[in-house]
Amino acid sequence: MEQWRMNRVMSFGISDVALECVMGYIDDPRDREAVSLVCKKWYHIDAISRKHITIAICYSTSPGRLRRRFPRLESLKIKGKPRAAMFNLTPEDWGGYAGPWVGEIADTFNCLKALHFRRMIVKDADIGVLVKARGHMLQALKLDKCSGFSTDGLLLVARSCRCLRTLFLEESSVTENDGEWLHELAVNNSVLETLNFYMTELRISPQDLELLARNCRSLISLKISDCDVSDLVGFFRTATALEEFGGGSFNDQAGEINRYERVRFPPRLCCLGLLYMGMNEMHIIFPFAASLKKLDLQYTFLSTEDHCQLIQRCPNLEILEVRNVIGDRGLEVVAQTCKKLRRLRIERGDDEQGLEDEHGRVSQIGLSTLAQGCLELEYLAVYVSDITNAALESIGTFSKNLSDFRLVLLDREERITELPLDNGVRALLRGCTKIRRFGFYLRPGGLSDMGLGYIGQNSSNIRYMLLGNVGESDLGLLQFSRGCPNLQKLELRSCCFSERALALAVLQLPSLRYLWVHGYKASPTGSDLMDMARPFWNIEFIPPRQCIASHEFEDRRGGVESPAQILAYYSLSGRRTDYPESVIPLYPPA
Amino acid sequence: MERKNSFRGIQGAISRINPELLRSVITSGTAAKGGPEARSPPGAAAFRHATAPLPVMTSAFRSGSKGTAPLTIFYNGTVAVFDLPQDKAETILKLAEKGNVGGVVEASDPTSASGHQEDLLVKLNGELLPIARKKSLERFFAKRKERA
Repeated sequence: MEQWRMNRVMSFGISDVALECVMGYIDDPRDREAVSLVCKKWYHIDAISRKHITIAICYSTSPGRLRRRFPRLESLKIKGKPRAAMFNLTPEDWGGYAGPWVGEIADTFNCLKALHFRRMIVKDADIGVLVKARGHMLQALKLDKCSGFSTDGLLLVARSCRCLRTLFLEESSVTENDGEWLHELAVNNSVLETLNFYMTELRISPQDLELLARNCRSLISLKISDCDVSDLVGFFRTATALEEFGGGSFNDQAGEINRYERVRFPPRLCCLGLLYMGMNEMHIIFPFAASLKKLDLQYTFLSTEDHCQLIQRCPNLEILEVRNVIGDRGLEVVAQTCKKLRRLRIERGDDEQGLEDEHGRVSQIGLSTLAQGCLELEYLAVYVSDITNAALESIGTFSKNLSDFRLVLLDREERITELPLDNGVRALLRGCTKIRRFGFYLRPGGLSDMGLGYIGQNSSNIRYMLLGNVGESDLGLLQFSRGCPNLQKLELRSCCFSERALALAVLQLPSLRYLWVHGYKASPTGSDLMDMARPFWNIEFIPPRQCIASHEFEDRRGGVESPAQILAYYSLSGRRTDYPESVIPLYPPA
Repeated sequence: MERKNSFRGIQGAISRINPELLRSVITSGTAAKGGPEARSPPGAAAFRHATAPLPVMTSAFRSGSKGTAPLTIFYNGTVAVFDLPQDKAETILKLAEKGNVGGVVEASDPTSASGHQEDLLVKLNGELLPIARKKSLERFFAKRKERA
């Protein structure tokens, strides 16, 4: 193994020792990738000095391969299910099992301190294996939108991982047996900095939170599930280092007017997201609104006017998350007030009448005002009810720092002021040269074939794209796929492209390593899909199925027919061995 | 069927109606003018262009497996989709043109790019998926309803 050292101590005039030192400063994975391709020595030094790896889809490689190449990993992030799982579009049993990875980690990854599973199935037994082998060293554990485990698994973590600084469980489906785990965490840990079980259904006792605050003096971030804010008075008083809080809830009880008057937030709090907060409770934020850097209003009951009232007091906001109830009026306030804004997410509101503010619509008016007012924007994700080319041009002109842009055109309004958006999207992409992630979800007529071609021609830096209802025909897709030189991950939904065109596009896109398609011109046999067959390319087919009816279709009998999905990705480890019945692998005849 | 549902497209809603029956529906409908409406059915765009052959088809027309193509008709708050060969589609459109009494109802806003709104009609035949909803938000909406 070491004999090559004797042949060439110097590599390009640089000693091995120096090389290792220098490489230690190179963190960007793309730079590391380039470094590893220079020669075998550099490949080897990169391999033993690489600290962190992200595996974008767990089936693209195997635990053994990972261990053979990067034995000294300190931090590992693995993603399982497709992003579509966040929208209930992926079968629950699709796959993404943490088991095999945990097994390898327990056996061989002796330097591992941080582990992050995203959209994977993690069982209590897996957690058991992990903490038994690595518990004494684990500093960060993130089970992010995972399922398959229970509070028993959390109890194991709480008891065995005394060095844990970060425990992150956001949006995971956890089977609840009791709230013991939190108590054990509070008792056994004194270094915890971040605890997150936001968007879970876990029930905990405020006393355990207060105990945690007392024992973990470094606690700076806490995001919890439902727990009345008035029960957290003691916690807030104790957690003096707290900078971020999310969760809690407000429950308006008749007769208790001053229920929340006693609440005093910790002095350094600058990131906040409160569940079910309404107009009557909003004022408790006012005393420190000017220090807020991050505000999450997605799960509040505020009207358009309430948003205006609150946001105008937040001139230091850098990250804002809201629903489209903020309206064009709210965006005007943002544009005037939040000059430091870097990230803005505007989610869709409920479709049902009467539940959302009637002013709660975002259109080209709000977008243009926002672009002109918030010049530091790096991330913009927005559900709009109306749009024009000029608004997109505005973004292209003003939002020069944009690296992530996603726009979804809602389908409620029959008439849109200006379609197609060919010229607007071209101007946007030409103006915002730093865009690396791009989402454009429209409706038929929203983007012509030429417009789709424009996207292809003007996406030199884009690595990820989600496109919905774009183009008019296969020609559009083929024009698109002649561009996009750096596109690695492509998600297509509700498009009119044939299997043949999809296959051709895949073969043309030079950097593509992951494709997801839902809704396309499926043929009876699916044979044209095999045009994309090639070595190391796994193709998975999820046939049309009945899925759980989302509430907008509640009045229909049974479920909703969901059309076929295609998932295809490069893999070094060949075919999966754990396909469920709902997923069919497609391979050419041997 | 509510208008908004008809706009979103009814998944897999494909009817087969005898052209004779359809003709009688169209001629009787145009005779009875409704009250003033803020917006006319989008389908009027199809009728307006009935002077050109097969107005709902664009140059990107895709034919079905047996030389048929989808024809989508919006009528009086309902939508129906048919898989028809070219000649039958022309027949229906000519009937509609004949039955169209008085001036053409302006279907689109003066400011809109009406040419591409037609594509909308072509696409609304089953490929259109409802915009997917995020699990986290769905849960929030459900809880909000519970509390109301």
